[in-house]
Amino acid sequence: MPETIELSRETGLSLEAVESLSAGKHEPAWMVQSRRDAWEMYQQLPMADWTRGIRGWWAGTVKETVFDGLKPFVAASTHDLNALPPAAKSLLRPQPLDDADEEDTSDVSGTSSDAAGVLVQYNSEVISTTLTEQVRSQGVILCSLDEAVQQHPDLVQRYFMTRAVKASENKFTALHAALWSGGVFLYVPKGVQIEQPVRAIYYMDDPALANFTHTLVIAEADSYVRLVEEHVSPNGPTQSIDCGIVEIFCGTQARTEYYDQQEWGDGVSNFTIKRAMVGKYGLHKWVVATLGSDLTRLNLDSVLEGEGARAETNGFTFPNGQQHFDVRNITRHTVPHTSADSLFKAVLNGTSQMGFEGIIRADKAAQDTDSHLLANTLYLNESCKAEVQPGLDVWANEVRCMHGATIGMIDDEQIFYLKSRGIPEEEARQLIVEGFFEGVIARVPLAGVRQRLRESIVRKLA
Amino acid sequence: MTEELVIKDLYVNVEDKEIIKGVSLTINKGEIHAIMGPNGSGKSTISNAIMGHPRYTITGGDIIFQGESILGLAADRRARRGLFLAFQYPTTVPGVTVSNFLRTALTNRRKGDVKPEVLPGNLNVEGDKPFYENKAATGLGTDGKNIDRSKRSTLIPPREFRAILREKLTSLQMDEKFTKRYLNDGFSGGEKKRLEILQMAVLNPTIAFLDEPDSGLDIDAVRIVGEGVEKLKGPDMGIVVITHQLRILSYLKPDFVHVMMQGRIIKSGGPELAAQIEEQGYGWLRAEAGLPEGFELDNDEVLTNA
Repeated sequence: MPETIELSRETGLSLEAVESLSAGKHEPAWMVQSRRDAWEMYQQLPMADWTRGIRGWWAGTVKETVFDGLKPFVAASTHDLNALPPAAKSLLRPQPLDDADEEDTSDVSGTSSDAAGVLVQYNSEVISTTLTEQVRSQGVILCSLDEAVQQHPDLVQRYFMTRAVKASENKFTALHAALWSGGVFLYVPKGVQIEQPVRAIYYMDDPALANFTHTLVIAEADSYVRLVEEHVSPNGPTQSIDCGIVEIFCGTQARTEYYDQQEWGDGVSNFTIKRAMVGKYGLHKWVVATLGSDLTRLNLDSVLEGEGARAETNGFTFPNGQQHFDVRNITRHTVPHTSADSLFKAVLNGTSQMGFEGIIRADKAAQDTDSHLLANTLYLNESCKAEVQPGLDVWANEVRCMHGATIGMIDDEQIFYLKSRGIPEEEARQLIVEGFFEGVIARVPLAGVRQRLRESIVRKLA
Repeated sequence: MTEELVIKDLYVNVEDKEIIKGVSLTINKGEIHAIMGPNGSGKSTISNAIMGHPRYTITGGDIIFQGESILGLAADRRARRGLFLAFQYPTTVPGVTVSNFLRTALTNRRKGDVKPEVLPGNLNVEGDKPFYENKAATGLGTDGKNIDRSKRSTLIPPREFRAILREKLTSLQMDEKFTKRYLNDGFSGGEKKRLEILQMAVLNPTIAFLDEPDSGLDIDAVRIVGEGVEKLKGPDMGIVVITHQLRILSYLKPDFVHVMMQGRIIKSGGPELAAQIEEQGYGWLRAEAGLPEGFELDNDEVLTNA
């Protein structure tokens, strides 16, 4: 399996790289062909115009030539979790997952910290997968996508880049389909409900890696699953990219929750599409924090394709320094009686830039759609720049769709009020920013995720 | 007994307009002072200037607190030394729970005003002003390096804090639900004032200014606030109540009453002065001081309440 892959010495993205990656993984013919076709599409598709930002005002931060010199596959230098770099190892600490008393977060004793399963991907390879016997015995599958191609080809063929995100969507998705490696495959059979979350950790440290992280979650009817992901890499000069895709299939009356803390190092360029397909009476919840990377283009979409489906989207965006983040959220209602609630909170520090575009789309058939979108943005200084555009694209005539946006700075009176109680200015700003994000954090039922989000706020304010 | 707070011939500008024109006042622990006066006479300006609001510029005089001038100190350092101001219009801070806020505040109050060590690296180019006083350098610790903000884990242990909070809530007859709400967010006028008193109870200042703790409240709410403050008073706390209504003074029983007009204290006396004002209004005082009629009033006077 992976150890036979010799790609790490090669650089550059090419058809040869695609074929030798596939051969190294001993993939079945259908996957080889799928990769070849995707490479063909990549060659033909134009560079997407959004590389200049949602509104086109970014400086040309993404060039086609950025791919020259990148390595499409870098083997993990170790498969031993104990030998991981300290930054990666610290992520493996158990997280308190119970709904702990908010005031007691410093005291985690007595709260459970068992995840149902943990998957770790280091550079292009998944190096560790664990799943409790109790969950495994119910038919739940957690493995790398590489393994799923071999072991569960029917499921992969049915769901992988077929409906949610297609290879043909744009140049990056085509490249992803040609070169993906590692990946998370999570399958929850009908009626199986897992209370304990599943964790997936993506760690990379190669400075020239083109990483194609892929997460595929299939939750069958009446199932319940929560996936907590982290994307982490060290800071420092690097030209590496993460061109990731998350596909979530929330079946009939299923409940799926997806939490992500994206903390790529400050040199990484990140192009990610996360999309959930929600079936009849299904309920999907996103909590996606965009914190790291130099440049991020995130598509965070939900497609409500079954009657009674509901999606709750929570975006948490905090660029600082010279980061450029673009976040695009499309909630698409395709059938009658679906609902959605999207809340995006962004704080900008340093000279960062952020574009946000949120669209509620109700197809002609989507009568009785009930959909909300709210974007709140807070500037911490006058040198950052944000462009926030909520929008409606409604074709049905019986809907309730609402959108709104606020943008502002920290009120000096709030700072003075907190200072007059003895709280130093820096701590006061921290409290106010935490309070601003509280609307999103309060929607996270997992204490460990809440803690990580709060820690990241503190780091970003420093 | 040493004097806790001495205001010496203070002059204060708000946006280039001189509001306070030479006020002197000495407040000791255990004393209750009332500052009365019509609207626009400068009562609130005094308390804001003493607390260190950046919009209020002190152009003359001095404020000596615990034997040291505090003019150069930011509001948070004044508060950590034991000054407190219950605001007339408390600010809303959405998303920050009362209990989290109070725990952070009490932690800082207990630390006291620990002056960061002055190291050469902490001095700015001009040489005299420590770097840590600059806005850009607020993240610097004593060693000149960035403060590790994770030290927030050194907040007062939750159990201890909850015990303190519960005790204060009980004595002020307040519901614990109060502390789960966001700071002043959606609070009624009376709730905001009671929260100010709760903060005062938790932070236990040595000198507390109460800026119109009774404004906008109905009779019952004034009683609750008045009795709340009454419970807090003691030999270790000096209290200055700013008001132009007398009802609250019936609960607090001030030792000294000062009347302010046009930026000056024009008369000081004992509790009998308050009673006199209740009967006769401010007109006679204005005449006694030789001030022109209605000079300071921008709006209709609200003395009819008195």
